[in-house]
Amino acid sequence: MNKFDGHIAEIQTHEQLSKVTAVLEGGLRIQAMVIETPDTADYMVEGGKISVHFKETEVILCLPETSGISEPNQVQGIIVSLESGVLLTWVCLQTKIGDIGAVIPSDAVKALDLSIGKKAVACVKTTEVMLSVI
Amino acid sequence: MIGCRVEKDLNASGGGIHLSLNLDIPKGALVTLYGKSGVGKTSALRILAGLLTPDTGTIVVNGKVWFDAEKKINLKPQQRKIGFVFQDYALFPNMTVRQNLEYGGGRQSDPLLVDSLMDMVALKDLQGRLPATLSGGQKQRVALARALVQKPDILLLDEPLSALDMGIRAKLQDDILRVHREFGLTTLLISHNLGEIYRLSDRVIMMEGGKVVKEATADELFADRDISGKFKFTGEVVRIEEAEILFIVHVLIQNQVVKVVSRASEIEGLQIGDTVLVASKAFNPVLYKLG
Repeated sequence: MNKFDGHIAEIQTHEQLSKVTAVLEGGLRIQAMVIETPDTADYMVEGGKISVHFKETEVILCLPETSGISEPNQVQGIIVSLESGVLLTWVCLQTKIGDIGAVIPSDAVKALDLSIGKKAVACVKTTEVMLSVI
Repeated sequence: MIGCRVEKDLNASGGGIHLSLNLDIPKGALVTLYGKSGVGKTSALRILAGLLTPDTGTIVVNGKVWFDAEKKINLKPQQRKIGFVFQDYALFPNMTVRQNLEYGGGRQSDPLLVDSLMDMVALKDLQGRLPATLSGGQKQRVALARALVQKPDILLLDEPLSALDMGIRAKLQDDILRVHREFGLTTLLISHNLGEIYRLSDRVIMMEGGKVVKEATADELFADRDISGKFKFTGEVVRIEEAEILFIVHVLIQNQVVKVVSRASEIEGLQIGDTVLVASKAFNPVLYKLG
């Protein structure tokens, strides 16, 4: 599980849903879509300290020049380690918020020619980011 | 209703602790006392049973005063309508299963009740056997039946299943739940096993240093309710398999097994039988109408 600490900078609520923007170390913003509102959860306050969680299997890796991605959650980094299986590969990306793990198809590692030292961007869907109170 | 407000200085190993109990347990509830060793859980049960005398305070059960330090009221254990089951069974080794139950029933031992209790926990075929010839699970069923022959109002269970393996434990949990309901008992259980606590308890009383520090349902106490995932279940780990760079953890949730893919770092220290929270976002699952 990728887990990073930060605080809530903005909450946009509509009906039962909220889009929570968290600010992490280095000022990086991560958005999470949750079925909570400030009325249903005490932790939903601007300035509130929270952690963001997202699973390694929910991370998409792109090359830095890729454009036109629907997800606002994009973190640039450098690949620092790879652990390859036949079908899946675990990639560790060093970023300004800390190490992000991604589990992606081994074929994609070859197709994008991902290797240690290369730059990549980790993308996470806002609907896959969970929040917890610190 | 059990109302227990007592104080007692205990000379526990590793230093004395001051036990300060303030309990209100509704009639018919199954409540677990949870906490580390030496926090006073067993002493609390012994005080209720009349095996340990508090320094001050009162114990009132269903309107009847069992203990009042000021008025010098202190009912003897046999006057308290309590059944007690210990981890080490405490059966009489020279008596058969049936004799253990009859002896537990005292002079007015009711043979019909002894029969129905043996039926209830499947001991009929073992009634002529001596405890030494029984397995751990069988011995504990005898101890449970014996605790009930005096038709207690309150059943006290001090880690009754901790010496038993998982399969037997599940069967005994069924037995405990069944007798708790059929006899309309108020039951206090001491257990460290989260799966067991989830399965059996209505409420959990958490103790630290001789005091009650929290009282809640098992879910409120143990599940990390602060995580925002809306797809949350507690279950028991039944198998862990390696799959390439990942692990597949099989989790029993009620009577269904689900599989969760995890990294090695996430399952460090996780063992078969551990209770886990399975969490996901409400955005992931899909629904199919059945039937």
